[in-house]
Amino acid sequence: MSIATNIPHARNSADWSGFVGPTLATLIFGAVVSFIDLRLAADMLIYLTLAQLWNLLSGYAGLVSVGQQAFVGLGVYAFYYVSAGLGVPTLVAVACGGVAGLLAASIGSVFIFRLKGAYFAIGTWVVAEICRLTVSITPQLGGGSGASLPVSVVKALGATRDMRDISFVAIALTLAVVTVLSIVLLLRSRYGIALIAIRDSERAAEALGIDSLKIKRSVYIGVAFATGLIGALIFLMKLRMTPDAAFSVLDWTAYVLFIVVIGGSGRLEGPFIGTIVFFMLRAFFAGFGPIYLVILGAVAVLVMLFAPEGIWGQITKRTGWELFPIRRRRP
Amino acid sequence: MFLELNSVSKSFGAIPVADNISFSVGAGEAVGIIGPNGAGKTSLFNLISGDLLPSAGRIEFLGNDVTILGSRRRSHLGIARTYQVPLPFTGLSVFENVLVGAMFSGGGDVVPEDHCLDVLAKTGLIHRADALAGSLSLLDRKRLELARALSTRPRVILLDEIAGGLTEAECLQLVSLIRTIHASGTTVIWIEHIVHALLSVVQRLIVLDRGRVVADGDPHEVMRSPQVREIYLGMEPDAEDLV
Repeated sequence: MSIATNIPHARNSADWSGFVGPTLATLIFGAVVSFIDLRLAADMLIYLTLAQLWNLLSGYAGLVSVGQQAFVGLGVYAFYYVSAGLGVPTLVAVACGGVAGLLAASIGSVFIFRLKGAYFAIGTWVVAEICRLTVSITPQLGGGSGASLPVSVVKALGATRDMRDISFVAIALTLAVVTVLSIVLLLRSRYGIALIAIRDSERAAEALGIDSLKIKRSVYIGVAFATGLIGALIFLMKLRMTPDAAFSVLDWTAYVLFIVVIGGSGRLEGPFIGTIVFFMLRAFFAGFGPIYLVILGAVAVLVMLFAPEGIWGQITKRTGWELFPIRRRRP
Repeated sequence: MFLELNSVSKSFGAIPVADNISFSVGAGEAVGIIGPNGAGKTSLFNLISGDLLPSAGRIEFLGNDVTILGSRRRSHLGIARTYQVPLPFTGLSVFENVLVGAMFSGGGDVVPEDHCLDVLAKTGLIHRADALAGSLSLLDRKRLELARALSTRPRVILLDEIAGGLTEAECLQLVSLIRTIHASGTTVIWIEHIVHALLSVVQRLIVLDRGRVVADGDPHEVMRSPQVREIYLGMEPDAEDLV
């Protein structure tokens, strides 16, 4: 394994070349798909962002959460409440979706971070279910039958459907670029190295002076903020949401997990590849009904068995390529 | 006092791993710790480094009561350790492994990268600096344990069987490195089964058995005492040769 020796220089975080790659990749990704279909582009950018966020959690911070749908759902309903209920301008309301995720994660992490490993994973899921059930029995949020967005809120992003679609892509692309850039910035800072150290051995990391709880918790809260923003955007695009759809473990965690595993966990390149593969599979097989999910599951199992590093991991292993280097080399 | 343990006890259920342990170590000392398997040597290190908190007793370091502080806080005060089974950050390079300690140990006066290079040169890892830590040989893994501990610029370094599993030649290299570290003013406390390696460095020997200190003093006198001979009889032919 002499991968490290093939990586171009990445001496410190002031080295701007490291940020150009991921930003360009995200912009090109968005631009190319936009030519095919604007809705598809927004969808793909949303999944790319969710996958980058989940990859940061599990692949770098070692926090395997299967409850990220909690923050999507809370983003959806916080957005609904402040925009439709309180009449807050649409874009400000989107930001409130992020704040809802941030607040929920700040409070929830106090309890969830007492759990380790598999228990942590189950804990996050349980919290997400509690959120879903709480929303289901709250009439102000539409209860179990769901809520529709008033026309005025949606029209703020464009008078016609086409104009709105452009707005959605613009927002999704902005979120994707900012998310990817923030992750690169984080990973190239001293906290990035600390995250990988904690993931590999929390005990040794603590003994070297790292406050592992604080760092992991900050990442968890930051990811929840971005996930909440995404939730608000999803509602804007779908116009109607039920608690089951907003807090869907399949849509907002299982598919995202699939993308990260397929593309390559613990690598910035992984989610890009995973998202493309996922949407191609969806385009070809979604018409087959339940068989589609069986195919997705089979692909995931095969990748985990024969290429646990994911598609990008395989490519790196064979070629030594590293598109977005975050490694620090000896000066 | 530099490091002082006062009636420190710890048990897992009914099994005591530290039973009323008291001793102190002065600044700049080199102390060896021996004892049969299960004597509580590693547990003693866990208690000193903060990986384990004692159920009774008191630990002081540089005049601070550190009894209830975790390993992170104790590392900031200047306690560093190596692990018997190396715990490298396998996803990071050797350089980055050492950088972690240099960046998070809290000393702001030294450039972390420069300090890393010093430590890597000293521990003989400089030519492996950009290799992934997961790809190292056993000797290099042991060196990395040492390098990482040194990266925090410790006042005391706890070495847990750092020479275990090495060849005679590798062991000699390591011994001379530990001597250098000690000579530069760092206090060394070293658990080791390879007694001749240990005795070539330490000026004082503590013997543990079933969580108790059974002997403490000049290494050669300690090795000669009947109690220690009884514990080691038939286990450590090495010890017999030395006396």
